[in-house]
Amino acid sequence: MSDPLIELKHVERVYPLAKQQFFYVLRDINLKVEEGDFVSVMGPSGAGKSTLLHLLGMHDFGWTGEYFLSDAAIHQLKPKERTSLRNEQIGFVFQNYNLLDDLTVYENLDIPLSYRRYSKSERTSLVADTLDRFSIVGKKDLYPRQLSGGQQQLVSIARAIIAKPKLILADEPTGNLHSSQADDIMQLFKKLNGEGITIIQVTHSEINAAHGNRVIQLRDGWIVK
Amino acid sequence: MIADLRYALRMLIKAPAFTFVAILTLALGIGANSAIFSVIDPMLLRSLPFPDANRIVMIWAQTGGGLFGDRDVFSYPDYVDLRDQNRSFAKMAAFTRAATVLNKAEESQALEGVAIGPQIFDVLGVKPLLGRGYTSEEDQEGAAPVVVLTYPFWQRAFGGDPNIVGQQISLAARNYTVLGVMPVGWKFPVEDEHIDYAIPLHSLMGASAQNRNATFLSLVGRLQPGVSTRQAKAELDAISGRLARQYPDSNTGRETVSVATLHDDVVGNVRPALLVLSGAVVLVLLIACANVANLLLARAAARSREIAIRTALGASRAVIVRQLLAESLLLALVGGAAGLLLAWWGVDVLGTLALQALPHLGTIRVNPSVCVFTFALATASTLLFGLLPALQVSRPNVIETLQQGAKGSTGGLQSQRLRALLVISQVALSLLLLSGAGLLIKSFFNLRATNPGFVPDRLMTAQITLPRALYGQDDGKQIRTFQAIEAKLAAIPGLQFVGGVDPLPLGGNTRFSSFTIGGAAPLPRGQHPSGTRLVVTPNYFYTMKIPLLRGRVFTPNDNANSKLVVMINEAFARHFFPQRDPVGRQLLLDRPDGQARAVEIIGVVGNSRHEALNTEPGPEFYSPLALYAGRSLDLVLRLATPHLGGLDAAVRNAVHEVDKDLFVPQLAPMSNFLATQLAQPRFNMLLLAIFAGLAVLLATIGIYGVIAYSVVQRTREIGIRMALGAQRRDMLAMVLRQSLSVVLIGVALGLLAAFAGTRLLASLLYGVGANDLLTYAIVVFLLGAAALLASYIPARRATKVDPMVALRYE
Ligand SMILES: Nc1ncnc2c1ncn2[C@@H]1O[C@H](COP(=O)(O)OP(=O)(O)OP(=O)(O)O)[C@@H](O)[C@H]1O
Ligand SMILES: [Mg+2]
Repeated sequence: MSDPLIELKHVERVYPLAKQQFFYVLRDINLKVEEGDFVSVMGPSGAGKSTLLHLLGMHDFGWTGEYFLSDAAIHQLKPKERTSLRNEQIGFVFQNYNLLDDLTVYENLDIPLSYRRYSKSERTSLVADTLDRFSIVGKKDLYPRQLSGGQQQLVSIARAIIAKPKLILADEPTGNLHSSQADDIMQLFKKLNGEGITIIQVTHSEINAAHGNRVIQLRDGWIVK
Repeated sequence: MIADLRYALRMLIKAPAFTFVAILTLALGIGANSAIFSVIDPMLLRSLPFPDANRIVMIWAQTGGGLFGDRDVFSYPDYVDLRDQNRSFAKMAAFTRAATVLNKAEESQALEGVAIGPQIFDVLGVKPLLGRGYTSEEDQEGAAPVVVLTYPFWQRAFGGDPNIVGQQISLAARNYTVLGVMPVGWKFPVEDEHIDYAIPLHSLMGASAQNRNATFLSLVGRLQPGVSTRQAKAELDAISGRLARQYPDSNTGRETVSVATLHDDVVGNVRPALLVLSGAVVLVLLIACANVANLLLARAAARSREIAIRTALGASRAVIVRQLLAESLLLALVGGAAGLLLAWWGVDVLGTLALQALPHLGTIRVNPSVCVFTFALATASTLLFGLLPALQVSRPNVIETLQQGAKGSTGGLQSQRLRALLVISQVALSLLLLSGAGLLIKSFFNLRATNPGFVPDRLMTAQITLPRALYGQDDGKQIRTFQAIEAKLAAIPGLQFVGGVDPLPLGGNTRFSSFTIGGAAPLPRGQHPSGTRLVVTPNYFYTMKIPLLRGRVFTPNDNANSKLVVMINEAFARHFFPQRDPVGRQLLLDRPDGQARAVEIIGVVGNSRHEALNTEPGPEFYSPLALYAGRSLDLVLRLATPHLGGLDAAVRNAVHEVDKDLFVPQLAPMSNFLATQLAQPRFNMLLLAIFAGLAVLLATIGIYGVIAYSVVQRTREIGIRMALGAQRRDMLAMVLRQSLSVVLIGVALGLLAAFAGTRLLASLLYGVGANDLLTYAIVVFLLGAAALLASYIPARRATKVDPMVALRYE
């Protein structure tokens, strides 16, 4: 069998609390995620789910242990190399969408491309394709506040996959949505997963988790299942 | 209102950093205005200290341009005709400056005064404090000498002796009866630093009283009530026209006069500079206000929740605006008070700078009217910087603000635009000021580098005047005395050369003489060309190091017993002898009696600047002292070494060996006269440079503030962008781009303003055009560098944003 897409070995995340006091958010995390997995991370509030996701998404570097992503040893990379690896491989979906208020849908979709090596024409056609694929062509000139929550999350997922990542990290993507909207999003994830994109989502909902093929339970920083 | 102010005070104390920066900014802006106001007030705003001062006017002959400007003085006969034939003036007086020496037992002292007709007491409308003024009977050739003292001189020289009236004092070895003492503040001519005395005009006039060619009198008059300067000019023009027809030999080309109020006449020269400086400080204040407005906007955004809640609780918009304005007013008042302190300190410096640069009207200091002005300006600036933010912030938008506030608003797009607009205007205004300053700096250094045509280092001067009481009109005695003095001085060890000249270059006096070129077609006398005339001793050119270009210089043998000779400068040769050798040619010098005297040109010397450093040398000719002595001669001494101890005493002894009664003033370095020439340009340049510097500083702070604030506001956005793949340098570039676009727009607008605005500077520039590209390039570069630095610091902070923290904001 081929190597896993992600492998974490003895990863720990500690926040200093006060003098000589530490708060362990993640403890001795050992985890393998295979290419094509659809993983749901679950656990009570404060368990460390978001922390794990930001760690995987390389927004946070204050951890110890080993992290391999597609054979690259992240813990040994320089910040610049991590960023470029992240830009190549990962798309991020936030709970509260995090679209930029002053940019249109079209411009929001264009952001990730603007930070990667795409020509102007490639960018135009990629954005056009993506708008088409998510059936939001009609909304391209609207501002985020002119969209419903579900539509905003749709845009934010479109933005996450526009640069063709291998891996999508989604932190409670349906947390702010009605259950019917949530279901649409899960269907979309499933479809993307079917196209070969690996997905790791944080969710509180068993129903959502059921769309995936694997569940990881976090409790007080430990993986319990 | 009191409650508003009390609450405002509490809010300001709660934000000490904001309050401090705002007050300091306002203090700089307002203080600069107060300081300049303290100059403008006595110069331009306050009327002269005479009753109905706007009816006092100066009258000049208009000589229609020509080589030497267009204002000329009058002869005594012309004055009498103008005075007696007009009906526009209640009184008209003629005057000329005078200088003398007060002989006292202990030590003599040099005095400055005015020789003026008795009408002056009515023209100015001021009667003596003690005694009386002189009468027309006392202003007659041969009348007993009388003098009226000014108040400061009376205090200084006579300790304010109340019994001075009727006493005799000795001026230049002649006894004068003191008739009166003028009250405090009386001084004429008003622009002089000090005037010690006034004497009747005729005591200086001699034979010139009959001579229409001897023009040396300035005229001052008091208009009849209801007569305008224009009407007065029309009437005097008519009289002048008649005189020109009647006396074509002397009055051709003098058909019109100019009439301007005394005040305009005195400040006319400095008004453009003072207006430019007042404009500059207003711009500085605008920039300061833009800064504070920006601070208030940033602060108000943070307070939008408080304001929304107040609105939700029923506060009307007016109430909120009032509250915000109360805070602004408090800031402005404290800033104004601090500004007044700055001005109080700055005015000392200003006063020193102004000493040589401005006419001496009143004193430059922080007086009650400066305080009132400052207070008014502070209050007015409240509206300037406070109103816009207050209106912006108080806009009723409760729901949105409360909702936005809940999720950490990204800041209203509109207030962001407003802030950018403020920075754009700051950049534009500073660029305007900086360009002006750059042009003046360049002018100043051009002027300073101007070669005066002689070498001023190691050159000392002193003016020796032979008292009329002892020397009278005896030309031979005067010439012999000066020659003897020169010979004695030449024997002082350590002096390389000693020469004499009258008048001294750059000494403030110029004398013109008319002439014709030998062999040229005859012209009516009024149309004879004229040139600057100097009387010199043979060694003058060696002493000044003025190069001989052709022919030879005077020798002691060029005197009344030999062929009559003259020397000319290069400009004279170029103008009157283009492509011909002037040496050996004849000039016919016009004499006061209407005759002409033929002289031969023996040499051509290099141009040297006599009238002013910034004035191109015109045609000049030199006559030997041995032929034309006056009673006054400026000695020029070239030192062999940079310093020569005891020179003053040695010169005094040498002169006293010739005549122990002669007054010998302190030697003055020739470089002082050059420094005087630079005083006003230096004043203009330094002040404008200071204000431009202040403007740039404030604008830089403004840019810094806006960019820093926007980085804070965009923290979440930056976090999102970084989570989506932006590198740190992308964020640095994004922020710099934002500031650069604002700065570039400002620079573009500023350049437009500068192209149009620096035209106002044209009269203050020397050797540089108002649209000097190099100056603009340097200025843009400087401002750009400052702006880049100001935005780089906060931009770096953008690269330090931790996306984790930024996103956790959720
Ligand atoms: N910068 C920090 N400093 C200290 N403690 C932190 C910091 N960031 C997170 N934590 C703590 O780490 C723990 C885990 O946080 P995390 O956001 O990962 O939880 P979570 O599982 O995502 O919870 P939720 O379901 O509420 O989103 C929490 O107790 C939190 O207080
Ligand atoms: Mg979480």
